[in-house]
Amino acid sequence: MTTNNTQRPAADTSPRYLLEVVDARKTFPGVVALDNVQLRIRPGTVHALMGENGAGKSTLMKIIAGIYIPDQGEVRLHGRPLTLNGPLDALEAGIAMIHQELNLMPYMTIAENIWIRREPLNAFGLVDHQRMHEMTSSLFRRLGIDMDPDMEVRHLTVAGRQMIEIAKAVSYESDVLIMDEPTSALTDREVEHLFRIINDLRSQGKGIIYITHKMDEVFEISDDISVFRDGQFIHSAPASELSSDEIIKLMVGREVTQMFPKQEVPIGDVMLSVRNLGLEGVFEDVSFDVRGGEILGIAGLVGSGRTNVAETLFGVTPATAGSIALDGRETVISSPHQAMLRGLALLTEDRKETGLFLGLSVLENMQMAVLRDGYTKGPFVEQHRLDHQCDEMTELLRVKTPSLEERIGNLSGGNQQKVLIGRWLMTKPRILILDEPTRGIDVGAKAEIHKLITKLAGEGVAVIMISSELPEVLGMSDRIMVMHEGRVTGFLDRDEANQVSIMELASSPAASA
Amino acid sequence: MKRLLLGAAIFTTCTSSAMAATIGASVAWFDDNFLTTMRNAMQAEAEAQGHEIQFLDAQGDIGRQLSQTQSLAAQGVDAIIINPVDTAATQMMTKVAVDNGIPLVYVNRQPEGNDLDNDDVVFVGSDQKRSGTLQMEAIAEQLGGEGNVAIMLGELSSGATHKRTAGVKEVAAEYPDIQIVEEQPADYQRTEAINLMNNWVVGGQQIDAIAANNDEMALGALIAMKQSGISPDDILVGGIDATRDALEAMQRGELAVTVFQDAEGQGGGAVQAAIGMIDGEPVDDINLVPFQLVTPENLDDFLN
Amino acid sequence: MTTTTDKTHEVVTPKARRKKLPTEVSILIVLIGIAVLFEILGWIVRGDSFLMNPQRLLIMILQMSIIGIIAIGVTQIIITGGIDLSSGSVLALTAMVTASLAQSSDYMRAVYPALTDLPWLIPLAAGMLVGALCGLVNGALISFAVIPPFIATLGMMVSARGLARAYTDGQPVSMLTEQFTWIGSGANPVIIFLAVAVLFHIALKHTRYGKYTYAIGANPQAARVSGINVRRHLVLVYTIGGLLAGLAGVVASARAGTGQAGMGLMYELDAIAAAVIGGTSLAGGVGRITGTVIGALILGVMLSGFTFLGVDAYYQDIVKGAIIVAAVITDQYRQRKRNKTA
Repeated sequence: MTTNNTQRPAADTSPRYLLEVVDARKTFPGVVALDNVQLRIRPGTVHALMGENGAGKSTLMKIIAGIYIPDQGEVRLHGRPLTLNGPLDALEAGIAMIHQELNLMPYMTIAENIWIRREPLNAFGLVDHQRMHEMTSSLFRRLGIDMDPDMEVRHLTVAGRQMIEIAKAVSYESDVLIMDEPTSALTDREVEHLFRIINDLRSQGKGIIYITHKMDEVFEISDDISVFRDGQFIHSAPASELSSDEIIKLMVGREVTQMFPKQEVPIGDVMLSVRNLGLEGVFEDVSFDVRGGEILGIAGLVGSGRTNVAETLFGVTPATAGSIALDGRETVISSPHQAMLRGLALLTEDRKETGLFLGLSVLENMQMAVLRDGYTKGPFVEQHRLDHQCDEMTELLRVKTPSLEERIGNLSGGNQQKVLIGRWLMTKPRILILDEPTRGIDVGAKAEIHKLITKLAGEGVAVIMISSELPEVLGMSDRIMVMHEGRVTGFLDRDEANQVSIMELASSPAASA
Repeated sequence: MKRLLLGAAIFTTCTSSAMAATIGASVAWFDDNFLTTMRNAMQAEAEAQGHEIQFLDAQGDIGRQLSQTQSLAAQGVDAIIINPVDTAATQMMTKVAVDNGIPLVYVNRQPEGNDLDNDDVVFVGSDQKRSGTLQMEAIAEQLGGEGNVAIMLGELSSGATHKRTAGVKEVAAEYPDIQIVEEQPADYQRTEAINLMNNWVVGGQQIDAIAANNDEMALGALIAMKQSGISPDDILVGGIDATRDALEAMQRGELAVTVFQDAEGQGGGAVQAAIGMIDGEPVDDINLVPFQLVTPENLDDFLN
Repeated sequence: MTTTTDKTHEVVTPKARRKKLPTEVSILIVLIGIAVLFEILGWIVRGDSFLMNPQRLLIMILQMSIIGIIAIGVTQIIITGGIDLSSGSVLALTAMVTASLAQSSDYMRAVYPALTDLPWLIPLAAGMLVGALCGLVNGALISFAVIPPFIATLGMMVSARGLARAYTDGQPVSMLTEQFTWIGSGANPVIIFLAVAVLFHIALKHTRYGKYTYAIGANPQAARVSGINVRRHLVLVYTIGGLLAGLAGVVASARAGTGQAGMGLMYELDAIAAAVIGGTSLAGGVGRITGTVIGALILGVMLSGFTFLGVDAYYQDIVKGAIIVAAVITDQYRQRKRNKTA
């Protein structure tokens, strides 16, 4: 692939690699998080890190970014060993990390966010806003970003904020950029833009470490792939020498038989019927039916109104127009509790914002939705019955947790999601709405959740599944409803749907059904 | 500035005592029981003479009191009465009144500086140290000149606390067999005094008398003693202020001594002094309203 | 992680519920540490034991009972992610109202001459009702007018104090009946405080009320989506907070035998301090009544300790402030250490 075209620093070892991690080991009390880990990043390449959650990718990245100090082993940059005592050391050495959780200050402008701690000053020692504006503009020109540097960050979408994070990292003129699942909240078009930026950086000889769960991205963008499992380095090879199946096998240590275990189940009667549903200024004229046993997929770009439809159905933001009928009888849903009483359940899109009680235990998180209508005697909670139910549910869902008393924040994303699914299964829903049920979780857990959805449909539950991942929508749904800018642009049956037909409907209002 | 002075002058001329004058008053604490009695006396005296009086609560904040003084001056009142939060920090307020040509009366607490050297700035009140002296003299006499005395202090930031305590200590020093064994604050509050007394009782220190800086604390000490089964004969309790609750406690034979500070005399006197200055009559710089010792012997005079 | 049966990926089923040490243990150690410190200093300075005196041990709790009752109400409010600055003022207002309905007929200047010698239950109920009403206003402002708790309760703090003064033009309300003052006599405040503590410990741990309180503090949006009526619950939590401030006002007026507008000054801050020392997080979602009780005891031990040692009054507050901060730092340090090993 690319040859080494960066200047060689005066070092006794020949720095064939931009960044090396040698024999790294990191333990936490009671746990070996990383052991005997090797990583070599060539200049001018994108190096994908693959592995299930808990495989040690994040720990390794934190070592490279100077957040953790390894117990053993070392990090070498341009062939020279680095001693990092904190993230600032790493940044100054030329290693920048773009965090999964975005770290921007919402009430400051884009320019202020990018140049924080490095603001250009004028003769009076005050911040020179004009120069800062110019510096930002030229940075944006270089990256092909079209945004106003003086806009406050809070007005930006998640994708916009992601771009700012990347621009900020680039502004440090770093040699190594670490990107931790940068596309998890981006639409396809935004992903394209991101990839253009990455390609540009690659051609400038930078090394990019790219963590992702998305297989298609890996093959599109990366030059090299390293696979981790259980804190161990497993394998490293050029992307051209690996196939998707091989990678999955390396990641899970076995073969995943079926990613989308879709089964044909008998489709029942119409359970939910929505007519001309609207929420003022957000979406309008949404009509569809869902039958028992059916999985209705909803596709569309971020901002197309998919999530709003789900929230309106569940009474989070009650509808301003149209009607909802359950089992043929018209009904009003004006609060989540009403929706629950009518047999609906909603797994929300954003686990952290609207799903998890982060400080509370697995048990508390799982039981919270059923306390209002059951498991109580007078004011008292029947904790024994609940303990039993939650135990069963964790077993059924194969939640990996040391105990039900564990704080949910200590669980991996996949396990957190399973607990939330458990929360809603305990309400015994007849209509289950799942908004991005597998976002940000690893391959193994993903397949399990898919299997569970299929099983629920088989038991006669009507499922509405919203997803940004087209393979998931295509693999799981009986029918797919596509939305664009607050309107339904079409329905596709399982046999006529493919990535192209969905994208056409998702990106053009003209293709009305 | 000139226009302001002129305006004030015209205003003053228009409102000689024949017409209703407006008096502005800033009181250190509305919550204080003694000051409330004084405030009511001021109100009554002003109404009796056909004048208006407006009260502001400084809430124990010297900064707030200064701005209240400024706004009263800007409002063009005919006289200002101040019950100062801090007797050492009155110069600025005096300056505001003098600059605006408004007569100023300090009531209850005497400024420590040379504020009273100015024309039309006077003090009406009592010598706080004297109350401590009277209290301790009576206690010493009832103790027969020997015993251990504990002092319950009021708020440490209050000037009265220091003066009353100084009076107590001065008298105690004259008796070689009287020791001051404890000295702790209970912030002039009854509840805090209950807690403090409880702690003293279990502390094991022999205490023969309590000299409290005010009656509320003396009553708190008595409540704590009652609950521990200690007779008021075993520990003499003395207060200051002669509040109604205190006089009733004395009637029940609980409180040994208190000192009557004439709230009504001070409040009424302050208003009279203010009106006198508005009318251009000569008013003395210092007008002392005497303290009076209250013991079971002369209790009836105060129970009205 | 386990689509096939692979030995390296055993699913750990949570049948065995691991019992961790409760978080209160660390703050209990702080309490014991402070007590032992006073014990040692006691022998050095006064040549006497600080702790080997059952009466003093009772007093340490007794003097914190009133603030402790408030602190319990404040704890549950802080758990929802809110704050209550009005409790001290609400105490003063309820003390005034309560005292005015508890006056004895021997007294010539009763506030309501026709309403003297009432049975103790009436002033008690009236006080708690007034407190609950103040709390209800707080809760309604926060839930329905969507005003931040800090501002809403700050407003109540100022208004309730004003009401307390206006009630009798600042005059104290004294000469209360014996049957009423009995509520505040002897160890009764301690009994009331501990009873309230036990009740709310159970309520927070074992009832829906408690579970919802934690859920709202941890994530109000998730609570709403889980079918919890967040607004209604917050109104309830603040009302109960006010009710407890009212109860504290009743106990305070019974104990002092008077109602005065200046009562309970700054009590809200001591109550918040007790809760925070006890491990309640101002961020919400975390906190326990046992911790708050220990936090209140720390303040009580300090008060008695200073008096016992005869620490110069001027230095007491300096040391008290420092100890509060040090207690919280110690607790957080220990907790962080524990979280790392978890």
